[in-house]
Amino acid sequence: MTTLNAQPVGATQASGRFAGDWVIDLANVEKVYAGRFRRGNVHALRGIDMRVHRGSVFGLLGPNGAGKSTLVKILMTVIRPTRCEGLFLGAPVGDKANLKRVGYLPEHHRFPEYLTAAQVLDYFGALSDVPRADRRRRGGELLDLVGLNNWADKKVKEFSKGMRQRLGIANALTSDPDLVVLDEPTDGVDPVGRRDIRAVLARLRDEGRTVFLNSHLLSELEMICDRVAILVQGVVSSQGTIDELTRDSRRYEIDVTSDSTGTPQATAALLAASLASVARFEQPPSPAVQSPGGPHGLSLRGTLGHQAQGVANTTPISIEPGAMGSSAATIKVASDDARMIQPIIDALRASSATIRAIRPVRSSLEDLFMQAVTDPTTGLALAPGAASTNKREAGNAARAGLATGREAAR
Amino acid sequence: MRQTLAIFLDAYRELNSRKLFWIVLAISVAVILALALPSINDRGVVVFGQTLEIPFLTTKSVSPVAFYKFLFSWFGINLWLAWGATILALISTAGMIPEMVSSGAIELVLSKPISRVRLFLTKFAAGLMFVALQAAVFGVGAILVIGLRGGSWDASPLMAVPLMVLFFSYLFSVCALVGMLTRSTLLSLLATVLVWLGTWGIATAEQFLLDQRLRHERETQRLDTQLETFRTTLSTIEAQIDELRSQGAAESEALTPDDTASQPTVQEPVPADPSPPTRRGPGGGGRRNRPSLVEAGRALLKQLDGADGLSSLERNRASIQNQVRRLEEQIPEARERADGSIRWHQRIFVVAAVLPKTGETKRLFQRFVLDKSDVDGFMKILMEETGDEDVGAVEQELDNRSLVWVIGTSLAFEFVILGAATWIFIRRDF
Repeated sequence: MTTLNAQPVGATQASGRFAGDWVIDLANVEKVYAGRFRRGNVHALRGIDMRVHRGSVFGLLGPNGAGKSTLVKILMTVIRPTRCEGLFLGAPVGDKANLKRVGYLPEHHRFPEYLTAAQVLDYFGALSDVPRADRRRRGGELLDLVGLNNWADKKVKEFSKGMRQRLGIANALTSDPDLVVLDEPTDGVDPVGRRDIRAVLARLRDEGRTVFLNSHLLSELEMICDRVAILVQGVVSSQGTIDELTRDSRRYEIDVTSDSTGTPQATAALLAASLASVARFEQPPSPAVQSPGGPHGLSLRGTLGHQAQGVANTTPISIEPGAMGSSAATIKVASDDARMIQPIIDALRASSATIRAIRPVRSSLEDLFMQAVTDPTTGLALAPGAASTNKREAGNAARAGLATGREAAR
Repeated sequence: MRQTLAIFLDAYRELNSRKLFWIVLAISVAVILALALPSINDRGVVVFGQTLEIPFLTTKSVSPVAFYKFLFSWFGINLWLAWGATILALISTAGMIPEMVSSGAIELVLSKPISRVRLFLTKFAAGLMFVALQAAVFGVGAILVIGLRGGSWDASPLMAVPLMVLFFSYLFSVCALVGMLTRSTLLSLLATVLVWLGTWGIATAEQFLLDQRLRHERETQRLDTQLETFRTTLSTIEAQIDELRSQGAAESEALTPDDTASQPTVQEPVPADPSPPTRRGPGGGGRRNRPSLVEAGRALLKQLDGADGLSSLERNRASIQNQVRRLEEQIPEARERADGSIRWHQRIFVVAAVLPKTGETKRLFQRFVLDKSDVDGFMKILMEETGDEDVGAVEQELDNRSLVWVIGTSLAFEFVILGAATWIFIRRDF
């Protein structure tokens, strides 16, 4: 792979056409698919507010059917929004001229089979109104960039899935875009290919381009995204930098072994006793009561009771004993402040417990994602797919309501 | 412009990748060569040195140039380009629109800085390239054959390009609309062929009814003129009779016995009398009989001159009166038939008016390429040979329809269909 001969970073910034520093600044994006033949409308997007900072790598994630591709297609004028406010590259969504500055890799794209890789880049480059000389020069560079330089004159029909994906990424860059929108770029690509694609994305960001990624491969996004938005059932459930989103979940975990008798209860009780000077636990364990549950049911929860450096403390703490027969346990302190755990270490050191590891922990994107797609009331995963307002169902419900009302009246 | 060129180049690459395009081109060349083979002489058409005697197709009826022009219009355009090649062209290009709007491909083009209307119409125009290229090859072939074999260099066969493109665009608009609605190549092909056959059927029916109508109209016209002549003859005969009567009244006083006696003999013996003696008399027998023959002739003349002339006139009058009566009965019937065929023709004409004029558009080639005198001369010969006075009347009527009518109404149809397809394309979420 060679360097991408792109315009310098300053050039994009100097254009200064954006309102502020936002490449995408959307509000109240809605899309309702009208149902046919008395089927109900499908409310695919229900008021999306989203901002993407120029020069950042932005990740849009969400379960299947959350509306990710619909949102991207609205930006790319493939789908017409029911409602859309705000600006996309400084113009309202749907402005065709603006698309010259956008590169797009659609999900499950299909290039004409009769074209060679070089011809694909040339054709779509021309559709983006790129002059012929630029198309020629860039075509070779881009094929080089994605590692297809030996395949320039081979027909697309001979390409594997991974190669088509690489070609798709090269194609998204033919117009030397300010913004690159990639819908599932690593779909069907092997691990080596994924690493290559990540490297390309990092280079794009370094060149000052904005990258908008759409993926459900969370580890991919985590490795490369500056900011993410989680889309669930047609609404943005949370967005921000990964740091911001995971801040609340940051904690310290201390693995210890105690010289207890080996039951989880005993381990927990012993540790609780050791920490009595620094923390208060609810429900002190009663050794007489044999709880039938597993180790998780035996964890102890409480708050730090000491005053570290004069600060009144309500930081949650828990002791989670290991399995039956093991004297190991993990103490979790919900704080990313290292000072908070010093007294705990002192107390443990003073007792007979052995500290095996102390580590700072933060939630992965996957934890965040699972949290976002789980219904807080039932604890079950939210139904996939966007919300639908089914007229017939609504009608049935209304009738059912009336019927019960009538029965009640009798 | 750059984008338009790119779409055309892509369409060309797509055609290029299809074997069918090259197969059609090969058949086209074969057809051109085949049409260059025959020549024409004063007895008929010569193929491989053998003369096929076709009475209405000789150098007397058409010049060699007109002969090749006829060949190219009939076989080249009507049979090959407007049927065979068009079906193959539809098979090749029917997938174009469904292919473009298929998921995975449509996102790539819609996300480009080109409006949907322009994208769709450019793609449609690119779809006409197949036929345009084929027709161009065909037109050049026709020019060469007419020039080399007929001896006259004439660029008018290149009219095949715009005419075939027009012709194909009527059908392709249907193909595009159905392709847009169903996204299915097969369905759009099927629907297009059905519409095509439908318009062809309607046009054929229209021409058939037009033929009927023209024949019936001419028939009533003929009967009218017949009636007219009979009536004038009748009046002259009556005048003659009156004249003879007034003359006869004077002569009859002297000739009454002769007149009444000879009257019955006139009817039979006149032809019978003179012949038996000549037959009977072998050798010089005829000479002896001559005086009696002369006498008989004199008698005959005398009879005809006098009252016999009157009676034959009266018989003539009677027969003409019969004819007039018969015509007076026939004419209302014929007029009714003509009115009926006019009504039927008008009905189907209304239907045909809104449909594309596929057949008439391809006929325009003949109109542009052939001289009117060639066609008229040929039709005259054909009329003489077949003895059908109405042959070619429909053709003449069709050739008299204006370009605005033929192309205008067809384009109106195409405009509506293509407008609907474009509207769907603009409104659809992909």
